[in-house]
Amino acid sequence: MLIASPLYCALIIPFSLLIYLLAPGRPRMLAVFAASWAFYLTFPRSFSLALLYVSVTTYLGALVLARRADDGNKLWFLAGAIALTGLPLLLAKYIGPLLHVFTSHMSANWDLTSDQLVFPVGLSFYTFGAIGYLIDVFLGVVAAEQSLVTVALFCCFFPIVTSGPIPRASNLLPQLRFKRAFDARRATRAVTEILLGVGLKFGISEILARPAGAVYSDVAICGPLELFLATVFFGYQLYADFAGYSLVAIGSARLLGVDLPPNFRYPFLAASVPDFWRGWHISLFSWLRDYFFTPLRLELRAYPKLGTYFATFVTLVFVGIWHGAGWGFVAFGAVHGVLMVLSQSTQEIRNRLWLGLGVPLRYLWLVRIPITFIIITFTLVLLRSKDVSEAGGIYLKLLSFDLVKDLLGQLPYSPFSPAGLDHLNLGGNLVVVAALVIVIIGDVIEKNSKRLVIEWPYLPRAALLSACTLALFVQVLSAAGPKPFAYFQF
Amino acid sequence: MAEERTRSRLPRKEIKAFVRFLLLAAILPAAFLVAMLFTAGWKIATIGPPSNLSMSQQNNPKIVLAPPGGTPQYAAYKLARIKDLQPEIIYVGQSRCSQVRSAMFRPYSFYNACLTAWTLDQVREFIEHAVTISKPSMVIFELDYFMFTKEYKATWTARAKMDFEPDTFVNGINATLTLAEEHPLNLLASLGVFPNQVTEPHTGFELSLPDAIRSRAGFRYDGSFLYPFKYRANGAKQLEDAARQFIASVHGGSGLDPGQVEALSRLAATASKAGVKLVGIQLPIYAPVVAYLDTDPAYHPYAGVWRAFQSDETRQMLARLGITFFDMVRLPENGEARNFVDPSHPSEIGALHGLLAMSSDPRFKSTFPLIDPERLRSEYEDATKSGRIFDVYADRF
Repeated sequence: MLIASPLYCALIIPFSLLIYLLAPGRPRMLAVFAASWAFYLTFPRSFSLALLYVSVTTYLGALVLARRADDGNKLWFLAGAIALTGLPLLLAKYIGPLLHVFTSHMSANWDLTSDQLVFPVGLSFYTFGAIGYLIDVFLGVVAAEQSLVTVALFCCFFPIVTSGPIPRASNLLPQLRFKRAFDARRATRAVTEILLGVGLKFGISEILARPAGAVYSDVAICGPLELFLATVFFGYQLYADFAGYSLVAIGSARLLGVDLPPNFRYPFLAASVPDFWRGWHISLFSWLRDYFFTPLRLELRAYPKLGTYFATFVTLVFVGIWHGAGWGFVAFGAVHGVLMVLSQSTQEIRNRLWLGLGVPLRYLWLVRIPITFIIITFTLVLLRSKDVSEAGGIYLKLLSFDLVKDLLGQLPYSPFSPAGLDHLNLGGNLVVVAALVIVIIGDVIEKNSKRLVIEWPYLPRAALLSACTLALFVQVLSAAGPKPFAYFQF
Repeated sequence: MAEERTRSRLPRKEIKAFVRFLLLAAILPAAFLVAMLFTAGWKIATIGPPSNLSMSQQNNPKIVLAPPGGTPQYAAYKLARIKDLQPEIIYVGQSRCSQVRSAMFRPYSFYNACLTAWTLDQVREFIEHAVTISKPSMVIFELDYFMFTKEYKATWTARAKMDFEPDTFVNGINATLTLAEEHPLNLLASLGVFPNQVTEPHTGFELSLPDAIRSRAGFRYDGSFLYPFKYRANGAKQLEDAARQFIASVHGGSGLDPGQVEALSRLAATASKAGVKLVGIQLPIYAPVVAYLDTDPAYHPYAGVWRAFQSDETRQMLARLGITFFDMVRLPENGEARNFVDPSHPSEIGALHGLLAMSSDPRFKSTFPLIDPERLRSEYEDATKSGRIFDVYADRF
């Protein structure tokens, strides 16, 4: 069952109400635990082996780490526990594809399509959560949980097991006691989040996927402007898809009395690349910041600047590799790493330059947001292309003068002829343009007003939520069914 | 934590507030939108039985439409047309016969039920349904050599399922949504907010329903298919590399598959039981393809079914089954580009040319005694002179 699918949405509200009929504490926890496993077993049964394995090794690993005296060997125990817990992820995501490369032929492409991989749903998300828990126990940030069921529920908590956000033990474990009473305001906010998530997924992401898919399936004959716009659509498709799922997960957890931090914060309104990463897949980036970047930077503290840049670069490469096995993903991470380092290392100089030119820094967002957006869009080509060579071909087109000519060609009285945008079929798909505008305006409103949808006046709120409900209704009728979550493959 | 109260029951007041929110902010407005959508769908006939579609065309022969839900829904719609029209002759088959027009068969009443049945069993099934709602004296069916391979049967049985009882509600809602998404102005037009219908600029037909509006194509009053202008304008381009195109779209085989020969026997038995004369036609195939099938050494093993179909044994078998068969694949003018949409699909003038060629066969007179070959000839010559390939009969039915 897909989170956000019509069946899931039909079950989540009655299920959460039933939970509140049970006594707080263990009865509720056991019911949610059973539901979580029942949910995960709707995917191929073999996937549950990995989940079971990770749950048990995490539980045992944390207990061993907690009981171990803080001698020189404790770090090795942590490394062992992490290696054991991360083994399924390593095997499924990286070793398998690498073996494929070596067993087929040495020059084989590392870029595998998702259908070539058998990858348990949500493996990256719950493994990272589990590893984070082990490190927290090692550092003494959280106490080792004595109950196997609680640790297992931490790993398999159904709202987040398939698509995140990546759980943090310090936040989630205490809430898994389920002691909160039903609160209408909390439930209302939760349902609002679920509906908005559904709207983003079905009303926006699937609509934007159409033109992006049409162009990327025929890259060879598409012009640069078409490719650029398709990549913009793809970026927003991915954003709406993932942010939509995250909202459904956060809303579902909130319905059960569990608060999770937001996973997205208007990333495409970022004014710099670091700003983008503070708003995109926040749970992954903050996880890497705390458990990877910070320790690495500490190790390199003898070289304050260079060490920070190196740690930043390596962290971003890690982000790329997290997305999948393929040179495109590695390149995506490396490019972002370079951009991040460049942004950090030149920020002061750039600020001074603008001030020297008499431009007040508070107006710089007018330039920085579009430039950052264009840069991010360019890098997304690496995620959307079939392989690196296709991405290379697209970059050659995008970086040619033809893109400028295509753009100018759209203007009235332009000496250049307008570029064909047949694959995007924007004229025949007004709803695609509308979908994009809705997301952009929605982000701008939320960023500037800081008001949640639940705090909006009745009419616009009802209009928005009913449109989301309608999107869900359309999915019920759709013969094709919802497309799977794009981030499942990651 | 102040919030961590430990009551286990659901407080009534809280539940009431929650349900009120659900109703007012989400469910009722969404229900209102769904009701509007349903009303719109019903009004523009995307929701409702196929008989509604047929009736809209019956009332206005200029309407060109494509039933919501795509190919699987065509059979139910075409049967509804047959029920309303009660034709004497029905032509059943796949896409190759889609350009055959009712006016070609004047003075007989005729309906083109092509683009419904791809395999021999599907043709039989369609006939079984057709004879329960009408009394045709003759069924013509597209009888092509490639229908006699196992692979063709397997592919098209899966791909072209005929849904005789379609879920018109689901299809209709989806079609209305598509229209609302892609052509909101057309939806408003269909609802009477703007002047109704959308006119196809080159032919003057009125396009109805989302698929037809989107693709600017669909079924005419007589069941023939109006190709989209963009496709028609491509002309000879679609005939490039004809043989490769053709063999990529149909299966070859070493001989006639016995299973398909049996299917043909069942089809003949069904027609005979219903008292319907059965006529098989293999419409023209583009000449370079025929040459390829005849002579290409690499394709020779796969062209066994092509050769077997033309053998005397097969012709005798067809005669034994009571099927009058006309083979149009070797006509001298099958090399003319104008006679084809692409290598396997005759154009409207190509279909007329095929029928005209048939009229010189001595069996034509006994099969279609009322059709005047001279009329066919003059219509063909007129069309040739005026360069009409697709609109030979335009809106004459």
